[in-house]
Amino acid sequence: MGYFGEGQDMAFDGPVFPDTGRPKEDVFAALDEIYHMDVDAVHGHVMLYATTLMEDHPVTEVCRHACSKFMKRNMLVREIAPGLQKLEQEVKRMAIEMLRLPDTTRVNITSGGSESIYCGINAAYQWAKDHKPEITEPEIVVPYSIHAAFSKWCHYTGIKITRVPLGPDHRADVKAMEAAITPNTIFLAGSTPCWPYGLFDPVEETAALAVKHGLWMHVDACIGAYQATFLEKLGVEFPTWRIGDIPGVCSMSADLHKHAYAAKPCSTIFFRDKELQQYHWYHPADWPSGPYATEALMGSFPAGSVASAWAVMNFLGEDGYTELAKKTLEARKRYVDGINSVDGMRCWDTDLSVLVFETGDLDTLAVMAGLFERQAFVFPIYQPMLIQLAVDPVPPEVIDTFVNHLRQVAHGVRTGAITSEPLMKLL
Amino acid sequence: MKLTILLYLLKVQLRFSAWRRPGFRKMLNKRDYTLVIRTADRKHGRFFTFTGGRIVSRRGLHPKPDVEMVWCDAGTAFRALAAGDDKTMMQALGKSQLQIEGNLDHFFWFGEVTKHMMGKEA
Repeated sequence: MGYFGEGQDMAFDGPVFPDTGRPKEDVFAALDEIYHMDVDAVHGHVMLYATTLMEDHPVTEVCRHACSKFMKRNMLVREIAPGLQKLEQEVKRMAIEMLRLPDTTRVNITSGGSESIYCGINAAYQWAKDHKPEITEPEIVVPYSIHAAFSKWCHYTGIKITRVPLGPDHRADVKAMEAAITPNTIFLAGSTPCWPYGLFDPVEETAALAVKHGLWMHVDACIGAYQATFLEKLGVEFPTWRIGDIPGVCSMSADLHKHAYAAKPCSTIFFRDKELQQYHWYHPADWPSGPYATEALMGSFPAGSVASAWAVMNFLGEDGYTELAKKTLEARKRYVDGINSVDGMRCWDTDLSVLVFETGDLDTLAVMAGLFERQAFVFPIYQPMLIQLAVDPVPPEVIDTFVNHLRQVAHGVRTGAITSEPLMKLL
Repeated sequence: MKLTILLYLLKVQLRFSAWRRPGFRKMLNKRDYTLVIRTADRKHGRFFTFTGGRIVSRRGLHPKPDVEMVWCDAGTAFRALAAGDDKTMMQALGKSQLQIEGNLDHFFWFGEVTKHMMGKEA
């Protein structure tokens, strides 16, 4: 089962696990072949925040080196490994400094945006047990466009989630959110920006609502945090989004493996202070081995991705991240101009590096199918039908290739040579 | 008219399946929601309310649906719904002949319900 919801079972002729091991040269050659099955590094486009398009950027080399070096080490036991502890502590400190957060902010490292979100909701749930003990059936109220991980965690834990319809601008409708608050509500959230439309929710107003009703407020800045902070230096203005800048915000999720350019899986969950972070920790000891003190949901967790974050942060520094933010802005403009130059296509005005565009009178899924055939793996948005892609600071050549592909595809769809048929097995 | 009859038959088939097939009834019981199938001009439509495994369906619109399948016109809606498969539905979405208003998850769930009803479930 993948992102699009369709499992693709492979048919095997016989056993796959070999009786006898293969020479490593054979294994490496086979791996190379598998690696190149997915995408061509320069002319393909994987819009999965994989930064695949930055294959040739030195940051990728640094990331790969650090990740391989620490691949076999386990962050679970960092207290007895001074090297791992140094990596963890310095990554956390650098994250706080990069995002210009107050020193009182506390941070945990997780495996990705979903886990950071789970941790935010869980902390709120534990907090509510102390502050709202009368609530036995907790609920959370979120904008309709908030990430699906919120629904997943609520499904796992039996918490009720109310997704509130957006305003006409596709951002959170704060008045409607207030109307959705019930005596069982413990938590509100907003995105900066949301995944489907790339728009910042009015989190300052939502946080004011949380304060008014005595609720936990979470900001999901998984996509935006590590990019917005450097774009602001370049004069780009965003609505207020930082945990430290908005009274009432209790937690904030921000992915290191997106625009901090660390290897996957790596994200951060911030808590306003130590007191709120206490609701995150859980160290079970009800087994023969004693306390099991983990960082977040994961038990064992890979030192490789944390080492990659440490290495990339040190390699880029403030200047390097600012330069990449500048290149992202340039890339974004080139994408927007290019896409808008294709007959019928129109980019929406989004807030950050998520781009969405309409395909006019053309069949959106057919356009997607044509792009997929050319290794441009974009995402569909269904309400309304849009195509979404994520902008990385890639060279102009990559963007021009995408736009040329889009132009070819638009022509193909118009003439009927390209249809949505190949995509149907995925959707 | 054809769309109106098709939507009525859908109601009959849903209720019949819920009556005759415990597995289907169990599936319906998993989720309470109201779905409206209508044309953009609101001239044709029917709502389906699922509560505790029971189905209430009437011709016309609903004041507070959880999700609406809004079709560009009755002819397109009839052809796509009569085809009765995911592919046709997705293709209608791609061509903007169909728009989903409200909670998208209910739309996909309704697709699973109709597949189950027609014995196409995995």
